[in-house]
Amino acid sequence: MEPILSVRGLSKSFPGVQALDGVNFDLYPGEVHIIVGENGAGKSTLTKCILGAYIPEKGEIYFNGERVEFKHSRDAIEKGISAVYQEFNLVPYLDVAHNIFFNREYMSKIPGIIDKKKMHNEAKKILESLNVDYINTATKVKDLDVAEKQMVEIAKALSTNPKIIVFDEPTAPLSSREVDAFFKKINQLKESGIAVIYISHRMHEFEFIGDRITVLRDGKYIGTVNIGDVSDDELVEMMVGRSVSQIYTRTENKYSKEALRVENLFDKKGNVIDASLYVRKGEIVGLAGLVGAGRTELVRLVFGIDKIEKGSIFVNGEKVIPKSPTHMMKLGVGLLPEDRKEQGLALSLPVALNIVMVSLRQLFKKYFINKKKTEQISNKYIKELNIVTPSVNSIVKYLSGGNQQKVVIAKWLLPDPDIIIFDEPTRGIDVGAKMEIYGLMDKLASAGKAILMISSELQEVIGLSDRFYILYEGRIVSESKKGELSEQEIGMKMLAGR
Amino acid sequence: MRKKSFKFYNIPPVLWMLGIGIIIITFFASSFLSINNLKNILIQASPLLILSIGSTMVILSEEIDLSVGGIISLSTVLWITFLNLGIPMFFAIILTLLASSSIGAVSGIIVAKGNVPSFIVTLGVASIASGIALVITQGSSVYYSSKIFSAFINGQILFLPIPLILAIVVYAISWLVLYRTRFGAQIFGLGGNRDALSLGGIDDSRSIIGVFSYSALMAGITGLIIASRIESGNPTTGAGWEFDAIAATLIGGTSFTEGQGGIKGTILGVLLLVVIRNGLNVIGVQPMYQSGLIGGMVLLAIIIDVYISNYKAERVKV
Repeated sequence: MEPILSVRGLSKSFPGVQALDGVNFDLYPGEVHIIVGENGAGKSTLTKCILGAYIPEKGEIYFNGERVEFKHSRDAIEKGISAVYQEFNLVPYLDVAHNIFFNREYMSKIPGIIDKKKMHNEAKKILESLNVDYINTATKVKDLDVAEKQMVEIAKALSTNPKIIVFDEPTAPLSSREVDAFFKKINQLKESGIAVIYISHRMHEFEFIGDRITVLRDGKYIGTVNIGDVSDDELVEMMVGRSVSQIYTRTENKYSKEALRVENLFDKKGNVIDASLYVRKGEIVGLAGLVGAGRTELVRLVFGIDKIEKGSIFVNGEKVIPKSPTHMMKLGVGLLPEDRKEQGLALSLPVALNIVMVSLRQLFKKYFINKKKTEQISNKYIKELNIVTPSVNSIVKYLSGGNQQKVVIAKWLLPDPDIIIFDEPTRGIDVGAKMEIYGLMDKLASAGKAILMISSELQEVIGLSDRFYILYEGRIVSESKKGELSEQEIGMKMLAGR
Repeated sequence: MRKKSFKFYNIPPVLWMLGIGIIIITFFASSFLSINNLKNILIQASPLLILSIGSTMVILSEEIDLSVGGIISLSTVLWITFLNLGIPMFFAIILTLLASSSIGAVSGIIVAKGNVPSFIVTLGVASIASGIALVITQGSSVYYSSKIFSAFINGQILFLPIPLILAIVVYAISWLVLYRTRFGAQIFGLGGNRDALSLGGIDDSRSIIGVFSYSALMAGITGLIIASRIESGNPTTGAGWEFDAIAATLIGGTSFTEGQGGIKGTILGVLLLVVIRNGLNVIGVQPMYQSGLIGGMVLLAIIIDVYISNYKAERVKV
């Protein structure tokens, strides 16, 4: 059988990163082809090239044996390639039916005017086929929860009657019931000869739907294997390039007294429900859970960004009501936010200014910034954290993701907090930089810091934390020590809360 | 299912501000509620409503159009000049509106293709538009009087003033455009999620150009009404109208984020502005105090609106 899609030697780079480096990929009709790799391995870049959202620099794409050069998403859509991206691409103030048929609306006999009735009827049919007919087609998308939004995204992708469909982490926002219905649908698609590209980290899902797996690492093609031919450990090894035990090192852990305690915490919006946890000095505590489980919301409460509805917080044994981040910083708490580009860095400022950003008041008693002192301090951290930058005055925007993240870390180490909260510390950075950051977190814990870490990468939570909590729909559903739970058990608790 | 229970904060703030405003004004001047004055209010509201429909669409798409004041000025001057040149009325209308909307298209092209923030582009274009008007009139005003003008302004069909009928027709067409066409959906898409447009295969620059052209077209129509009323065209007539249109839009509940809002609220925003202005006149507040008072009230209205929506966001589970 001829492949419906063939990719040869595809390369694409962004400032500071070689996102794809000579990647090959084949897709056959009726196949579910899983692409795996760590964050930053190039999975999304590969699919975006296939979908015409990025234009590759080198390499060829063949569709049904014919060379294609997509310049715009439109070109891929015309060939019958559709996608469910990781980010929602829905219009919040349009209704469900209109979002499903966005720009492919059914038109009435009056020129230019949309046939709403037909659109709603067709939307209903698709939602029924996905087993989610409880979603009302007249609801505005902004009023849906994440799982419902995801089902609308899936319905939208299916409504184009595609020949190839790309799913990028489709099950992340879904509950187990919806996941079941979704897998059933994928198997139906397969039988009808549609080719599926499926990006996922969730190895326990693969056997239910997948046929073959292609592994990418740091933008390079590592290999393609049949499902069942390799074990999970072998797969992880292909993904990270070394065996699992080497990556996460924890030197001997001595815990002393409690640094942070949270008791029965609620937020105002119901994203955090009755959360209790503690972190001791010298300990790394993980917070696992799906996107939207309330992890970020929980630490935002602790750091005084959002207001607490009920519950108490103790820092070093003393009860505090967090007023603001400034207040919590004074008490020795630091938070490294999840989105370094939006929340962690001033992208168009130099490295040095970013590093001293939150410590200005401590460093400079008068109103003016001393450039020399700033550079001295920054240089110290550049050396200590091995930040690769042309100089202390280089603009942060042009550093690679890993080095940007290290600048964020330097910025938060400078005020010398006792309790450090990391929200997704290694998102979107390469394996090498990840290992350095893990090493650093280990060093901090050994030096007696209390560390609370949010991570969506299961391996990271399992490997690095001494103890971890699992959040599900705003509630802490589990607390366990390292090695107490199997990966399956953890996955189950994350996905279903039990 | 989501229950819809009655909550005070669910009433659009503009509605009760309008109510309170009317009560206070009536207290000071009972003549405010006379049929004649109410009719006046509707006539005064008509051009502003037409203009504000355009501004609402622009703001829904997360852009801003500061050029409409300048375009109104140019429209009044062009329209009167065309008539003075002896061009038949119908063609003069078409030409004026064409000129107006092409200026909007130019703004749209610079915003979309040049990636320049719309507030800078339209600020410049506003100046250019009134600059062209200044050159045409050589710095003064142009005059033309016609019985058709006064018939248009003072006439009524079935007790409805003709300017109001015009506003209703423009509103109805705009409603169809916004809620029943692809272009309308794209406006919500521009504001709500621009990636959704380009990943859906839409050339979003075309939608942006469309929005600015539509807004400029509305400014052109507003210019026609104003010029017919004052029987003249003047290069400064439109100054300040962009402020009213944007204020009416924001007071009406349309916001710069996510494509929230719509033209229904804008009607109330326009009414509030016109009622305040008319009320101050009826009460007899001297004109020199009015501008400051209206500015203050607009600001207050927007502050209250922001305050209430924040309160709502904290109360209502998202």
